[in-house]
Amino acid sequence: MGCEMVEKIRMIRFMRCFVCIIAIVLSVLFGGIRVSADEESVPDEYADFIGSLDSSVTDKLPDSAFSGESEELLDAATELSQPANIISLLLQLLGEGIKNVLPTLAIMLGIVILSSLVTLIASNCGGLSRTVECCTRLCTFCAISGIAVSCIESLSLYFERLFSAVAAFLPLSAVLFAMGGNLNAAASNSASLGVVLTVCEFFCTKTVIPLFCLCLSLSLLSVFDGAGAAAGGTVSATVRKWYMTALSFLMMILTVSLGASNLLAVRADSMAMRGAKFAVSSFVPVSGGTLSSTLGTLAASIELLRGGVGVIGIVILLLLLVPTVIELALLRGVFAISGFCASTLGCSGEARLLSELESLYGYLEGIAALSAAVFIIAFGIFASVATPFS
Amino acid sequence: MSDTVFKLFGGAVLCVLVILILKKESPDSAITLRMIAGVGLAVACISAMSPIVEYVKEIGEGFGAMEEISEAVSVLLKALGVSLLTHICATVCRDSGEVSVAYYVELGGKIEIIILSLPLIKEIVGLAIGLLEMG
Repeated sequence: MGCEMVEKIRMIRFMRCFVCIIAIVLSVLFGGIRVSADEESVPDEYADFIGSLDSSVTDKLPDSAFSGESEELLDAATELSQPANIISLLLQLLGEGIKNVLPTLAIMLGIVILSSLVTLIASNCGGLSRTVECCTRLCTFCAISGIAVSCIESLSLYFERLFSAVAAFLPLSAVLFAMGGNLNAAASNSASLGVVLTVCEFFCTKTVIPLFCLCLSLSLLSVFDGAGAAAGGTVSATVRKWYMTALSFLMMILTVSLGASNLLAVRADSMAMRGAKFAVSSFVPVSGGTLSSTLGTLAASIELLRGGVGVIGIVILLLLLVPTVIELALLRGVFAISGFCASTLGCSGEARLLSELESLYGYLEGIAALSAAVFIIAFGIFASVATPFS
Repeated sequence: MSDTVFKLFGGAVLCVLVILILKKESPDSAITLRMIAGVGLAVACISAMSPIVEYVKEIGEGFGAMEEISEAVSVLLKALGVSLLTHICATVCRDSGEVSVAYYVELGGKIEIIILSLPLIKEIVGLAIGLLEMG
């Protein structure tokens, strides 16, 4: 049984070598091989990938990133990967985020101060003070929940953009893998990245927003004192913990399977191509050695191009992720500051709600980062895989 | 300190002195005076609060386009006014020895505040239902 399997594998390898030799010989005879990075042009799928992006992302990319020439694309990748550029971009996004979030901070502080003022005035009204306190809390919650709900829209927009960018990247990655001779890797990467994309899309769009809505609804229970608030907080915290554990586990499995399938496919391609390269250099008379070294040059140019596209892809994912994470982090900060003010001014109910919201936004940040991390790793694998010619 | 505080304190001390004198001579007149003094002082307190109310209104208007916040602030002010009036009325009733009437006044005040809060309660419940449906 074992011998049969070994024979079968040998047969498959032999067939692959044979097909590769035929393909190379035919391409030498009828097509010719492009020999340098200067001559290597960017596939059309790259334009489709860039075209699928939102203007908020494309505005931040250098002009050379839109070029169809590989050299300019590599320049763009080099420029984008400079630490100074990345830091300046982050600071720019942070500045924009702070500018957007300051009015929210002012509103929240105004609401908290107002609520404490009214509670203070009504505190001497004997039996009525608790009724007024409850009314004040309701008013505060109405105002705060409006701000909290507005976040759902930006989060779903982020997921939509992230998944459409990755979906547009799929054909590009397949073409670039195939151009470099990684035929198995092209098929494997497309299939595994497609599965990861589908699973992430399903999981994030179907569960993240409902989870947020459920936790926000539970946190509204803190309008009441005592058991209701405590139960709402406990259930909400438990749901979030379980969800994060499940999501982390799922992402880990997806990342491992993506990495493993790519690694094995690349090894298979490498094995097949080595045989082909040896055959070309040994059996093609006179020009065999030259052809073999030409394949090495071709491999280098494809690797360079793929590295450039991979780096640009990673930067694009970061450009999608960072503004959302910054927005969530800043809103979290706003809730933390307002919560601190509320607890200092003696508004315990408001402080409780704000603390719940702060914790909820922390989880959203984690989910946003985790969903992007898988694709960043996938892009990293794509950029770092060597071609079988090299 | 503003003049209002001195006027308020002076008026209160004067009223207390007159009530103490009248208590021995004519207890009925003392009760009437106590009621008048209570209402007068309460009105003075509420009018002294007008800058605070104006400021709160200003904050509410400052939220501008955010309609729900302006609405919440307006409900908050109304509830505060109702609670103060109810408390004053209940205190006057208690001072007059009518504890049961004071209780009913307070109950009426609570009901009025709950009625004022009803749109907010509806909004929060609607939001919770909407969130759960969206989920």
